[in-house]
Amino acid sequence: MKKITIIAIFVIAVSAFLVLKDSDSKPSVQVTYTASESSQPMHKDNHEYGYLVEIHSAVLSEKGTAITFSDLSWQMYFKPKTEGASDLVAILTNIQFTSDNKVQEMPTQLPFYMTYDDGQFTKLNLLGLGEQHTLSVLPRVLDLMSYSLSAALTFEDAQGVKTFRYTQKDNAVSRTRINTASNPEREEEEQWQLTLNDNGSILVGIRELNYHNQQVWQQGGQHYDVVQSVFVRPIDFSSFDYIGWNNNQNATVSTAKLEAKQVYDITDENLLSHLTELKSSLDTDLAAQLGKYLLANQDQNEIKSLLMNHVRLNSALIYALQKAQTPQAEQMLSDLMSDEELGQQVRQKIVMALGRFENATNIAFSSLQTVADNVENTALSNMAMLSIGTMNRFSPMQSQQVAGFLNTKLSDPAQLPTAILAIANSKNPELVEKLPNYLHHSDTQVRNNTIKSLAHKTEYQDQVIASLVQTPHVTTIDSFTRVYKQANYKLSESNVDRLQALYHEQNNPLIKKRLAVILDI
Amino acid sequence: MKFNYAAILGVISAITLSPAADAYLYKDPGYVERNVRSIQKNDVIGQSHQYRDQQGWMYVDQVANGATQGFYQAGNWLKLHNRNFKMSIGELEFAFNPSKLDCTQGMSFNFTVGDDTVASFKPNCDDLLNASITYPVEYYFDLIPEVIKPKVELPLDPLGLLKVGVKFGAGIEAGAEFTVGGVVGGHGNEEPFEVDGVRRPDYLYAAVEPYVSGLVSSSAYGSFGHGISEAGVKGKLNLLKVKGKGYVEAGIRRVVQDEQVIEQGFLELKVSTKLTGGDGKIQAYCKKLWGLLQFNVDVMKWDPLYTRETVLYEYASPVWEAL
Repeated sequence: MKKITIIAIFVIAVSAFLVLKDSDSKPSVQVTYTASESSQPMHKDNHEYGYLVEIHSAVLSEKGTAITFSDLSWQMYFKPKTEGASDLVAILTNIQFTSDNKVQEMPTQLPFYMTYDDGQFTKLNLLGLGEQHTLSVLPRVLDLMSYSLSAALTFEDAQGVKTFRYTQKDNAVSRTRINTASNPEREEEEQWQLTLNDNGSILVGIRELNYHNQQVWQQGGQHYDVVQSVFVRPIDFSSFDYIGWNNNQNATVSTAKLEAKQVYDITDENLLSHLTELKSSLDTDLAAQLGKYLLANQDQNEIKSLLMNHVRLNSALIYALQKAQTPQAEQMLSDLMSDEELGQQVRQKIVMALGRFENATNIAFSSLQTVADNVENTALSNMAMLSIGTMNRFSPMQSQQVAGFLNTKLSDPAQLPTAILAIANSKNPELVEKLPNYLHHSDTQVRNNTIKSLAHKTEYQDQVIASLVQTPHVTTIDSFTRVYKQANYKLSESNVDRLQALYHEQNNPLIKKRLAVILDI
Repeated sequence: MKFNYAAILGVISAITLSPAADAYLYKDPGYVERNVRSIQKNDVIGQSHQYRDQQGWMYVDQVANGATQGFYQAGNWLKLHNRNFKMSIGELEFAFNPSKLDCTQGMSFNFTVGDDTVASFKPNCDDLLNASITYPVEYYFDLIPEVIKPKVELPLDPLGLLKVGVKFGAGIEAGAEFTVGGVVGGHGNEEPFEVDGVRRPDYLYAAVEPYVSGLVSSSAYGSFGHGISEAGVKGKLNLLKVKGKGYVEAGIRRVVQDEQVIEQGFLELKVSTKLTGGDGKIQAYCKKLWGLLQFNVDVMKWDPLYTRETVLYEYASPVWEAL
């Protein structure tokens, strides 16, 4: 009885909510809730489909009040990649997500690939969408839209692995779960019904999906009801362009970070004590707020003065500017860097900060480049080069600049050893591919840095071993051993043979010891 | 290395007259420290610990065979909820060949944080003629990017739209002090190496002192907006402050025996450690939905280590030995 009350409350709440939403909403597709046989779009023979998906979720307290609720909906269109293929190209549009009445940012479109075969949606490729993104529920929704009359299907959803057997009666498909894992903490009930079209000849014959799931969570004195429903119904196909999508194009779709940030009340009077607090807390929120405060209230000379007068707060000050993550912060760090009066230690910290500054612009890059090119201060210059390599990962937009710069440094014999380490920092595959060229360099340090940068990857093992065997040196063989022991691959038989031959030729005791470790002698 | 000149003469005269065969000196203790300090944790949290190690070796041979090579490294890792993160590594690649103008070719101090080499210092032989240089480096690092923060997460619904969870991050302060110096004269070097008319050092010493400290922080989160501001976890776990130190020396000199010039070498390797701190706790408390995560009160904690300094390995050649 209680559960029915809960569902009734939920449905009423949701309906009320939908009514309210429609009344003040931005322009959106008109959804008409008429009798279910109304929207049977004309699929014709070109297998183009459109579906509206609506997901309602809520956590209700024992009394039935909603602690939290969310609504996610989208229009989904798909068509065969090429005529007659079961490989489909698909797109979500008009994606709307509200959570506790607050609209959450969603991309305007989400393209993806999938396949439909005999009732099942499979081979979903979300083109690199971050796992944390809300729309990564899509595979589970497609699992809900799938069925098979010839075999049981096993899916994994957010709560575990579930296996179902499906039966069809007339147009209705229903399912039973056949591997019920007992969950002592909660009672679960589920209703699932897929209604098919009368016309059996079209590829995807879904006329309607209705899914409800209710769970009771109890622990200690706490009791919650979690309810979720998914409605899917066809809509008219809306055509979209497909010219080919790359496998990573959804990687840039940003995921909203829903987390509370502590707000600090920073003033001139408590600035130094907050900076001191940052030293021990290393709190990134505090750092960011301090950075923004400094930029809003102090100019470059004042910040320079802080740096010169409070040496023990230098790391905290620079870190605060780094974490502020604004163009102004980037400019300030770059300007400070060019001031030699600040001294080596401060400038070193700025070099490290700029390399780790997220989404930096050309300002940071040029600033680091100037320092890297100044061969009179080799310590700082090397650090700047390494930081430019790191920048490739924190500021992907600077990739091309970073690659161009590091490429040039490869031709400078004095800077070559450090350039190799910088390339390893960058993790740019095109740059890393050039490293094997240095495995036979006459300078041991160049060879050593190259071996350290490549030895953890199985694809370079032949070339690395060739280098070790051709010019055996205690340093390179020791480096290789250290990296190899932590790596995830095993040397091939032919490489093992080469090392065994080397072992027998060698008289240097350290080389023999290291080879013995690799060869497990 | 402090030698009494008379003592050296005494030693030399005790050496037999046979010309030195191909000989070398080396010490290779391998790992002189490998320690894990485990974090006491609630059952739902996976393995979590702070791991440190130190290793080194030194090798001295005739200059024609490469002279001296050596290595020292101190590494620190943090394991949180079954996932490993490299904190920092301070490393010395030691190379000293007094017969070369660039007597420190191949020598390098490297400082790594996470996946990145952050600093690489290469000393210049000319700066080490009875002199030393120090390279300090230190900064703060946000060790774990947001997308790979270890999480304990509970999805409340089958689609996973309603989640409560706790995620862990680590902020570290890491740095190292690198020192290198050279000594010319005073050790019975009868035929000192000179290149282009300039004497090269008799021996070199180097020290690497990497250190790391920091803390593990946690924050509660939900995939929905409501209730986020009521955090379900509080507190911080301070990491053990680890300071390693590797000290090396190596030298080659030439003495005349029976009108033959023979090379002699020595080496020294000393590794020590200083540990302090490592306290704090992260607690979860029941606040609405976070009670469902089944934490008891303490999520992670440990008690502080009182400061201890230990010499882990120490060796110095008692005399210059024939190479």
